Amino acid sequence: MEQVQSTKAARTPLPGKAKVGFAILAIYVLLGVLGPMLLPFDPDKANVLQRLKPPSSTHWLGTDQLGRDFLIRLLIAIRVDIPVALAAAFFPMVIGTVLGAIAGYYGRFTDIIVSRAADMVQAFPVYVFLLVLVFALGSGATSFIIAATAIAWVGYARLTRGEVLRLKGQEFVAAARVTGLPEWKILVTHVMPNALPQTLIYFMSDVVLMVLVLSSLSFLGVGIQPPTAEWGRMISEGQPFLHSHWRLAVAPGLMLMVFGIALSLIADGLDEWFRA
Amino acid sequence: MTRANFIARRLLQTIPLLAAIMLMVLMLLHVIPGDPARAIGGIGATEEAVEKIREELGLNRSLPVQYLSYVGNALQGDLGNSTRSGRTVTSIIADRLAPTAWLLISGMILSIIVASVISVISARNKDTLIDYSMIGLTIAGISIPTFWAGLMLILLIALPTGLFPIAGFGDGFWEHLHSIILPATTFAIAISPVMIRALRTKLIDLYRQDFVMMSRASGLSEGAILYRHLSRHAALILITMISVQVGPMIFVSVVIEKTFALPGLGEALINAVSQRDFPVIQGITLVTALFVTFVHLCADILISFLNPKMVLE
Repeated sequence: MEQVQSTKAARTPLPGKAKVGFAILAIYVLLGVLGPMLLPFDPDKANVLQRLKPPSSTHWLGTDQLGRDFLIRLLIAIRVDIPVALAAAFFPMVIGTVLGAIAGYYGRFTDIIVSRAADMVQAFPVYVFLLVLVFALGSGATSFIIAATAIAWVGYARLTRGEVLRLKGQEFVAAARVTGLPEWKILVTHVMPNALPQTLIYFMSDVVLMVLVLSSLSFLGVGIQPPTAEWGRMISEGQPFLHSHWRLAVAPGLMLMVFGIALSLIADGLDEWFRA
Repeated sequence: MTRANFIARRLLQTIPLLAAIMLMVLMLLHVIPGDPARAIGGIGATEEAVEKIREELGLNRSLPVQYLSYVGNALQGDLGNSTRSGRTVTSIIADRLAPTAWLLISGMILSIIVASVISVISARNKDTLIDYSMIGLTIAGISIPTFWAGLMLILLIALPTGLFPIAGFGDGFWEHLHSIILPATTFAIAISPVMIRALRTKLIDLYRQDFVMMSRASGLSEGAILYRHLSRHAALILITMISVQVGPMIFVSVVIEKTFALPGLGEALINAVSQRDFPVIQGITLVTALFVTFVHLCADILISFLNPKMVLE
């Protein structure tokens, strides 16, 4: 069955929205890698004499409340927000998928342990717990990734467990079993390839969620610490200047929004593509 | 299984859950790297001050003893005292409850209204420009940070018109209501997109069903179809979504309270975090966890009435 699916997928072109999403993502990566190299400013060093300058030929988007070039901070934040959000979705994906696959395929006590642990995490106001956990571990990217992993694996585990349970009963798995393959090999080579597309789509929406949670935590003061440029933090620092210099709070939010839309487009597009 | 059995079982299940929740809240102190008492005291704390914090938080006792005394005290409504102000955590929580309750209730009502209206319009006009623009709005809503949405409301509505307060909670019912409009709208921007996604899919599915076609053929108006046949299914989806989303809702309300300077539980939590006031942090975390458990329980019971098949088998 997975053969059938892959040849089908190879024939169907990627939907337009996924292409748009990937294009936006590529632009972000380019801007994040090249932009700060091309701009001759220090993104973190305050220069009070230059504070809150309007856009000019030197500072294309002006300077922020500490006199730093606003554009370079906006772009260099790509190097913080995106990798941290990717990591905060990647580790739970690996852990959750493995646990969910084991629970779904082998059942019995493995299923009981994984399912109960998942129930337990879900009974919590998870993001408030995440906030407090990041604080307890000490604010910063590493704490955020650890705390996110402790919480977000549940979504992947539930998804994978459900998919594996559904696939386990299908004929191609029974057929594989007849050939005498060991159980773990059936799980890895026959069941999982069919479960992973859904995981990938979920991962995309999880990255959006994680970048929003990360920026929210920074907004609340427990995420990425100053002077490092991070969009949520920049919005929070721009809030007092909302009436006079609205660009400071608006621009980082737009960066977050466009990134989120790009990933949503990719997720929706891939979903259609895998179903086609 | 009868409904009474189901409810009884569901109630019993919450007991180990509550025990685990309290354990996790207690463990928050112990995941602090190094010596928690020293970390809470801060860099300049003297040896005596650290020892006093250790004493107050019971950190010098063994973990099981700490746990049992925390549970025992919590059951009697004693969640300890703030390490900063010395006030009881329970009284701090009681003081801060009203703005949060206002925000959650008004935000939830607004989210349900917005989600229902948009889903019905979208589903009735499936695959038209109207539907696509609604989907576009939903994707945008999922992709923006909540606090940024709030700030944009301030920038685009409150500042130019001067009609809404941008911070604080006011005094008396009408001022409260006036101050909660923008925060509740922000709440709906954050929460309704997820509801719309689920509800729109369900409604499109329902509109295709035979019984809707039949009702339409027999001359029942669209409004009557919606009311008689679809509202129960829609209510089920909404209750399920509220149950699933209650955790994110609490987080969203913390962020909104900070954005609009509402003196609620979320703002108290953020203050406690910045002051490293652990008993308050633990107390508020515990209260929000209890609220989540309560909402999950209520949702399951409601669902067992609305759709007995789903849970009672």
